[in-house]
Amino acid sequence: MKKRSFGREIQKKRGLWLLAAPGIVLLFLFNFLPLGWIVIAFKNIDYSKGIWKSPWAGRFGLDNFKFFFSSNDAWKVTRNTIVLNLLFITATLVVSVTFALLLYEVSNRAVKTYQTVLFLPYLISWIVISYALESFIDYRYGLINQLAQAAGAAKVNYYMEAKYWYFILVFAYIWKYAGYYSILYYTRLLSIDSSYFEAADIDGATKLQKIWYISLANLRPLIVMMCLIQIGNIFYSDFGMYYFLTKDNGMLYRVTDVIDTYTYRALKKINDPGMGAAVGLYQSLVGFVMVLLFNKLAQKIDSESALF
Amino acid sequence: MRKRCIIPNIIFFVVCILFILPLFMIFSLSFTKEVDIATYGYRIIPKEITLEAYKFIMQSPEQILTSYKNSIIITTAGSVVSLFFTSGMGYVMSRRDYVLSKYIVRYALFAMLFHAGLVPTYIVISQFLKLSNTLWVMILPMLIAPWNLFLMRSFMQTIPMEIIEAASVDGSSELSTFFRVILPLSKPGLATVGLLTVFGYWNDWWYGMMYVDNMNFVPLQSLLYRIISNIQFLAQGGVGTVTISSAGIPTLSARMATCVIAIVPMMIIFPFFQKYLVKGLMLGSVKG
Repeated sequence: MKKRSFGREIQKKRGLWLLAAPGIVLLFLFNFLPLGWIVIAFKNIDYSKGIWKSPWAGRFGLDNFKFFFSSNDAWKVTRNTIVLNLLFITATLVVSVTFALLLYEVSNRAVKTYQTVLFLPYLISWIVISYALESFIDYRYGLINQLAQAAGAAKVNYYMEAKYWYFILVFAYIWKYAGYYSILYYTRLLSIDSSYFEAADIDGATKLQKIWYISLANLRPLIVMMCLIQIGNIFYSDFGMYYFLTKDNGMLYRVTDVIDTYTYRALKKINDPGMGAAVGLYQSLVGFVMVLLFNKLAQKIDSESALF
Repeated sequence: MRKRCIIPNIIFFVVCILFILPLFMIFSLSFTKEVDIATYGYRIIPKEITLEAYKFIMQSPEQILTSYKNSIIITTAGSVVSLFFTSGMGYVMSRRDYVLSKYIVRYALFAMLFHAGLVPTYIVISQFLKLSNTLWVMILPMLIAPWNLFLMRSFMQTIPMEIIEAASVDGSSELSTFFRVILPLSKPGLATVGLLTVFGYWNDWWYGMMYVDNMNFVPLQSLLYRIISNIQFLAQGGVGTVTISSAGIPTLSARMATCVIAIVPMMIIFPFFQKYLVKGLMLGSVKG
């Protein structure tokens, strides 16, 4: 009885099925079908034999993983991925909340202009940004080295010295994304009932007190949510940023080599797809657990702010 | 009543200059004389404004024109079809009364959260689907982005169920309800997702870099990448690289000029659609 009505419902609303079908097929081809090829992670791929006939990696097929985790690379790329992402999350949070609070203090007309400018970098690709970055940090012609020279300091070859890249990448990240986040936070500030501020004025609250007890208190749920989403994705990196800004320079890998760039090189440069797939699987599994975990946490803190 | 302060305005004035400076550098370097770069280094304001770089590019514009054409085809075809598919599936996901809706939502959610990884996807696209070196490879995989599906769904959830029921009582089929009632009501959502998709396609370098070697199919962003890596390769003393233009190695200012040509169209359309983007991103951040 129930089964029949289920079937009838689908039959009756077959128009809906038609609307969803193309999307379902595309997701199947590009997101679900590749799941079957994860088996590559357990093989030593020999292209002449084809993927399915290539030999297993070791007796249990785990040699790719063994090799990766016993090398220094596993620790290096995992650490770089997490450390840099944590730096990005904190720096962007501080900058964008500050911007949002400041935007709240200027007139609506001015906000529109500032918004456009702050948002612009969000729409620029990392390749274009890499051109712009070069005009600043190039050894011979770059603006920063010209300034350094004018001030009597020594020139620095930034493309050769890994230690500077924490700053460079954090700056680049802020430049691209702070505008986007500050607009999110600003929109939330606008929804605060102005009577809170009026009441605070009557009570003689200072500016800082108002920011702390009203503005920031109201932003808290959104801040928590955005941070949890970002931490949930901490195992993934913005590949283009690392690859183009550093020009994939081996001298900088100590700081800039992350899981995504490592996997890419394993596939395209070193030509070891088995290793690439193994590292990719490690990233997917840990990444998946992280997302679920932090979503759960978001639900606990504030049921409204869970992603799903 | 919100007070107007002068200090935040001063801060933003400085911030805005800092935010524009990198893009301004690209513009101004593209108008700088090659000799001046060699003598004075990169400067914010060129000593002398020249069209030298643009003229150099225009001497052999074939590759840039081909890439431009590719980018336009990919972006137009991709965005239109993507918007159509995304709104269709997003709508079905928003229909809580439909029995399959929650399974389709789970399907999309899983696709969003679990990735097979770079290598399996690469093998499927290049060896199983055999899409390498076609324009298709830069269109098809990006047609459905799970994130956009959820964004579209949250837009469509704001449409009251009564409207859909009323249409159905009037004898409208599901398909005609979607086209005649739902789509016109979802214009803000379509604008936001559409704009994100347009930028996504225009700025995409990933598929071009991974799957395309044939210069006939290279889009603009990949061309920019190739120009950089080519120059590096030549600087390292390599020989036998693909020639970007028959006139020789692009000079420093010509690279910047190519960059300008690539970003100008987006810069022009962005201010007109900004309000939709801001609104949409806000909604998208609320809940999937």
